[in-house]
Amino acid sequence: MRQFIIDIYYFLLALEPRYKIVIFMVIVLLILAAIMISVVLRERSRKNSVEARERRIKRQVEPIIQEVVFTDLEASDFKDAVKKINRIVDSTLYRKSNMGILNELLIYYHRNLGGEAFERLENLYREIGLKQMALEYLRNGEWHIRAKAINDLSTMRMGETLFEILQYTDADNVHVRNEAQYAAVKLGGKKAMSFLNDLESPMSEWQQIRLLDQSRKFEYELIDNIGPWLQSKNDTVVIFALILMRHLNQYHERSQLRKLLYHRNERVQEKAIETTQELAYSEALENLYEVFELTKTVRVRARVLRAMGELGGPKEAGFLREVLVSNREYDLVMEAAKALKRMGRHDVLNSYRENELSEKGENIVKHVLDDRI
Amino acid sequence: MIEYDTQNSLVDILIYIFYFITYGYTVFVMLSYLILGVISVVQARKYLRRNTYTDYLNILQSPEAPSVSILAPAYNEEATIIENIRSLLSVRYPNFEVIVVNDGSRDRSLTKLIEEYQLEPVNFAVNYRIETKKVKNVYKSKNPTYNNLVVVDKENGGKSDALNAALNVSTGDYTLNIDVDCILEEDCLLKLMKPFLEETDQNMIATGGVVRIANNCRVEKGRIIEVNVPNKLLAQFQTLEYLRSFLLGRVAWGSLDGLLLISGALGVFQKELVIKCGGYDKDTIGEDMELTVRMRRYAREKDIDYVVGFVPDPLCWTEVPESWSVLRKQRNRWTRGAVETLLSHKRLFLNPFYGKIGMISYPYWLLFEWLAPLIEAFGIILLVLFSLLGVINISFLYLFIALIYGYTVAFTIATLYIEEITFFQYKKRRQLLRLVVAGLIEPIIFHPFVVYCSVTGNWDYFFEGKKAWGSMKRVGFSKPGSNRGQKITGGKKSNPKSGPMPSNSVRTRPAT
Repeated sequence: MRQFIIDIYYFLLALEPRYKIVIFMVIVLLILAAIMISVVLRERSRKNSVEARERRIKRQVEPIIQEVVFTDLEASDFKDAVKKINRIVDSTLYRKSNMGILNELLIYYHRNLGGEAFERLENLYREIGLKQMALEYLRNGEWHIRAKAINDLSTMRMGETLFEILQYTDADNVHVRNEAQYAAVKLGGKKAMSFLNDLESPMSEWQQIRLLDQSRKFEYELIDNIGPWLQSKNDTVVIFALILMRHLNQYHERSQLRKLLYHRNERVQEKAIETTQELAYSEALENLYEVFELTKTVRVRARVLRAMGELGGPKEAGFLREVLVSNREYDLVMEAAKALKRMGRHDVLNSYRENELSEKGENIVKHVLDDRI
Repeated sequence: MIEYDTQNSLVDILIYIFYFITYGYTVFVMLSYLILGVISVVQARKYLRRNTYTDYLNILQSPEAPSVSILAPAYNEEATIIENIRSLLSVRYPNFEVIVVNDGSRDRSLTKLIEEYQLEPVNFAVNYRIETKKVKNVYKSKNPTYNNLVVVDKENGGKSDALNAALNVSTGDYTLNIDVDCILEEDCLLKLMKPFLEETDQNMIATGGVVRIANNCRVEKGRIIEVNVPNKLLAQFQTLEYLRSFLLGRVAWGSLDGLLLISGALGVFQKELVIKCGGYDKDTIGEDMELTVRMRRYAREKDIDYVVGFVPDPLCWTEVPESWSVLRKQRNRWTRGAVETLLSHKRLFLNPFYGKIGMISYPYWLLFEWLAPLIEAFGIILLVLFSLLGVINISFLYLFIALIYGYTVAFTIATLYIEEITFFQYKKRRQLLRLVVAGLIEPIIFHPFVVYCSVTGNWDYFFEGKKAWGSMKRVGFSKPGSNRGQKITGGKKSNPKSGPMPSNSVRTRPAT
């Protein structure tokens, strides 16, 4: 065997350099593949052990959590429960990981519970030290750890951390910033939305949807800041303010809304028309005529027709009939027909059908009158 | 004597050039895969980190969620259509409609749909913004439960024509274009829409998602409930190929904004832009890639600051062929489709006006997707020839082949490792080992076969002028009278009697 290895060694030594390089690379690659297979298998074992630990912790902790959450414990019993939980998760090697498991467990319970149980769970979160851990994570260098910490604090309704969270509402990292904005609204309510006053970075639609979801949980009240937001230089803030007006029935600032019907950004314009319609702002009908004439975008014009169908009277019915008869754009004809139907003007639609002005138009009217569609 | 020396040196020079091209090209391919792999890992980890705290519930309850139309063209899909439509209808999203287009099926697809979903014809005024074959009828359900289902019955015109008809009927702002035989994950639409909603600086025009292989997976009520490695070796090879392609290739291209292909099996598009581009090209066989390239080109030419996204999550499951003959037809068609698209958009090649797609993606596709198999086949023929003539160093050649084999195996194992630390779909140890074994055999059996298919695809395109699709007969995800826990088996054989538009066979290209 020894001789064989020596022979191979001398054989390799005698080879040209390019042979040596290729042989070396082949060996390295195969060794690498073997190492990766063993790493994959080790990773599996690690995952299994983590899962086993997770199951064990859950099995031990869950009864305690349930006791804390569903019974009215004395202060001393509560302290005992906290001690017990701390003992379970205590470990020299795995404390951080165990705390993570506990964190997820409490968040899971929090999402599925309400009422008094909510508050008890929040107290438990504080006492176990999870709140402290999240606050420490806020100062972590990794963006995803900071974002997750903010998310956890807001999920667990740690209102006292609002001040720390507000510092991140215009953070450089978009994920951290989004989580902080969401958490601010969740924990601080309408007042915390003041970050919108001077927000320079654009708000994504995703973020707007999240913030709206939170805002809809507010008790009904007029939002004073809507006015400045509608005048913001940041178009995404304007759009969000319009969304808030619409969904939270903010009937003030109508003059500002009227101005936005002429906004240079078509998306803002569209939202403004939608809001006008939803808030039943019929005084803006004259402006809608102007917008219809001024804009060339079919989408915006169709929105105007839809709004007219909701807000208009006989004059608008005449206008819509005119669009139905004279316009060639499918979307506009369809929208005009739908608007007439919404106004209850079946007579206009039926007379159009009977007169058979155009096959296309007739099909559209049939379509609109078919309640199954 | 002098003459002999001159000839000899000329041969030497030719051999030297041959060495340089063959070896240099191979090393270049290896390096590019390595770079893409590294980028993918970084991106996948970033995505997973974000997902640790992402809550899709907000959008699920939101009245502001944009509307989406799911477009599902179907041709002779009676074996699976009912279950598949059920799966589509149960997708989690607040504002969507499902548009199924029966593209002149010769089987009982439409009858089955009418019976199962209580359909009746309605007076739908179709807006033919894109020209298609005649729409015979549009159906809606009498049952309010299926209020968001629209079935379009039209004359046969092919997959592109069916998709265009669906576009004409759709009302959503976005379209999710899928193959009706695919199984979608429940939150597929939520995840695919997120990039559109998150983008603030640029105009997101399309997103794609990862397609995985459903053969041998357990399906219940139109959902994958247990992921398994396919039993057949051929499907296992394709599993590895899909993993490499989607997990390593497309994730990287997505992050580089260089994707040239959003798979026909799963992709969300901005509807208005698709229509402005003229919809799907009816004269191409690679309609998914062609549309992606045309949209990108259109956006650039119209000076739209756009981006194409990719979601690394496994969102869609599809059946792959388990027979060599069906696979050969499929790969042949993919090759023809890619060649056709690349040639029809040759203007992009190294054109700085088109940015990354002109300078990087298109040349990459040209060199490594289209030409790679041709160069490889040509190289092998020359090598055999040269070795027979005794003009090349055989031992070095063997070593080089060993190097390629070692690299391919290492790369496959690396893919499995990445799958393990990211999405971890194959949970059983034995399944993983089966894939490892398949990875050891794949370069010897599967790869040469794929090269052969690609070469014949090129031959068929350039010399035979073939344009028709291949076909695959489906077994179906469920058997009559039962929909519980069926395992999926791949198509058994090709169906030469298929009509003008064959079955929506496996058309999910895994090319990087």
